[in-house]
Amino acid sequence: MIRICHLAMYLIVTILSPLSDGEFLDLQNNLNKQIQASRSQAVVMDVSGLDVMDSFTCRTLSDLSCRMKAQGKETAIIGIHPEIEESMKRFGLRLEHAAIATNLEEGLAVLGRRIATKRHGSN
Amino acid sequence: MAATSYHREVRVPVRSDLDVLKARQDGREMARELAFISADSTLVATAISELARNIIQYAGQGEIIITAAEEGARRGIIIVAHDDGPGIPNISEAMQDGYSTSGGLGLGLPGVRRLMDEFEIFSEVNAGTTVRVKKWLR
Repeated sequence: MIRICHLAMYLIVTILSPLSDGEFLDLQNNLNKQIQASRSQAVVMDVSGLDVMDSFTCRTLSDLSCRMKAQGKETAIIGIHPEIEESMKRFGLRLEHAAIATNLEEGLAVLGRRIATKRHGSN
Repeated sequence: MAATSYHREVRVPVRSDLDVLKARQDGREMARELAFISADSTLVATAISELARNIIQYAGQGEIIITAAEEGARRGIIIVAHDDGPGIPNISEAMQDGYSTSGGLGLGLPGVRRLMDEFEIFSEVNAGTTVRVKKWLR
């Protein structure tokens, strides 16, 4: 189950329960469309509902973040349980093109700074 | 069939992505029943997810068999991933790190080996692949 919430310049996506690969790919495609249609500057992906982060999950999240970046939008991934973080380390998996933050507050702060830097840089 | 605490076996036919999800959830449940700590149950579930997905991707269908393991005083869990697919022509190549570990297109087998305590693979071209992994209680 997924909850999507628009908050100011952020799109906050919360994965509330484990997803099948097909559901994950659907989510990736839907977000891609949603972000194009919205004025959101950044995406927060809360993955605290996921049961595992395997190679497919990491690849899909990295791909999503990469596509966001290509559209000039930043991504933060939050809510990775310590146990899952440990499994990723042992497996040798990394999330790419995204900021990793522990919770929503921190995720929004990181994204806010990145957006501000970008604005400052383009002026 | 009555479920006993040990020598229990769960067989999950793997034909779709929903079966991948079911296999790893059944594996986690079994690990929990066998008194694995939560962090190790996550490692087991992750390994199952990876092996089950390989079945779908490379063989189309197969089976995950989860059993309780007992060797002397050691207790643990055995996961067997079996398919009658095309097999792996070069196992040593498939077991090498590289593009596979960064979440690329590989089989993820080196990662699975690092998640588990024991790892065996048998594969024959045009006959199929069996991966057998174990995790011991600690």
